[in-house]
Amino acid sequence: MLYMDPLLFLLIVLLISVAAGLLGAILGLGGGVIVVPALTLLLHVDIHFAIGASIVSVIATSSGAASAYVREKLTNIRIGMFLEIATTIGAVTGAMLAVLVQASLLFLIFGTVLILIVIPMVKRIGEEVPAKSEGDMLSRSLKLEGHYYDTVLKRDVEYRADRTPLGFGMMYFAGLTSALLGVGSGPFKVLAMDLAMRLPMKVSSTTSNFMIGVTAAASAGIYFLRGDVNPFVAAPVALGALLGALVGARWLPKVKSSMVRKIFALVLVGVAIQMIVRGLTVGI
Amino acid sequence: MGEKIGKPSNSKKGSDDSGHGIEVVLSLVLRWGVIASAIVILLGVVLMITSGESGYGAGFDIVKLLQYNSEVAEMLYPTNLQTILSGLLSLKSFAVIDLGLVMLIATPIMRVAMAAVIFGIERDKKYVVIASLVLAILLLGILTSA
Repeated sequence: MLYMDPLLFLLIVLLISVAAGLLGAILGLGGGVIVVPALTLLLHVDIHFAIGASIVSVIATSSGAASAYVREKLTNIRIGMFLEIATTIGAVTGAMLAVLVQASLLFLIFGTVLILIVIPMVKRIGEEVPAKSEGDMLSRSLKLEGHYYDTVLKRDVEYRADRTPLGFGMMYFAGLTSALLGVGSGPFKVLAMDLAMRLPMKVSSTTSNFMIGVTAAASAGIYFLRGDVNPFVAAPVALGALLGALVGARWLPKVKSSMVRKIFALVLVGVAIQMIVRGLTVGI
Repeated sequence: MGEKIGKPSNSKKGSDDSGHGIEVVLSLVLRWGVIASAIVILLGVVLMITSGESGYGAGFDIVKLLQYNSEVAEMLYPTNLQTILSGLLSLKSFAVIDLGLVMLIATPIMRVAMAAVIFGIERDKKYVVIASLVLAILLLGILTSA
């Protein structure tokens, strides 16, 4: 650890977290992709504290942005609540498995999976909104559908979830990775809704945003009791991420869906590389 | 179960009708949860900076504050509700910050509980079951970790 004035440290962490909250709110991620490498590489903070802080960043970003998205009806509460069954089961089983499995191997596996997933994502990179699907038995029975007013397209966009069981399965892995690795919950959620369930990008990112806080809360207690949540690091992260998320939530409606998808694909590659690097370097 | 399968027009109307209440209430739960925890965390940070003291073993020494050692973590900051409460009684800045962090973590859980209540008021049985299931899994996860 380099010596640094404590106030300067708090200020730098606050600014990093504003960026994380901003990006996270727009993409449906928790901001761990920024918080973890910035804290460990730039500020030489221990990885345990970085992951503990990233869990806090996820909850702050999620709750901060979701309060706006839910009111604007971008978030689909039904789809989010239904899929939360899968993510919370994933998070709880992940927390139980955490002592048994080797994290480095998991990082390599999930990093590689993410890289492979980027390919179908890039193929649809220019798409604004998908056509409303017929749905499947589950999505019709549970009313996993809705509409939102797209301020960019200036029209109402109707949608219905497709291939719900596949999306539900992917959500289980989103919860699992979040609990096992402390990262990856958001990216897998957005992908499950965008690629598997064919929901509009803004619905996927805001519904992911709505869900990640619950997934993180399911495993937050473990990190807290283990002493990984250091208030000196977590306090500026929480405040910064909240501020960033509030601003980001105001931006998203004005951004084109295809642009959100482009930034998301880019960040996804970043997450995948981080996971693979963490898998290759010893110890977590 | 399943009485509305194959009648998407009906169910679409249903989701529209039930849409307004739940969105407003959940939005409020999230907003106030976030505001309240941000205020408490900020109070803790102000207390920490003005007193120049964490209230725990490391004082305000950045090197000690950022040293990771799970064996002695509880000497440097609170790691459970009991130590947070006892720290609050002596107004330790880290205990105030941690209270805010716990409130922040509790916000999404409150949101799930509130969703279950509203689905209940709207007599949406399937979603009462879904929301209660999520809440049960969440609480199970928290209890097993404690």
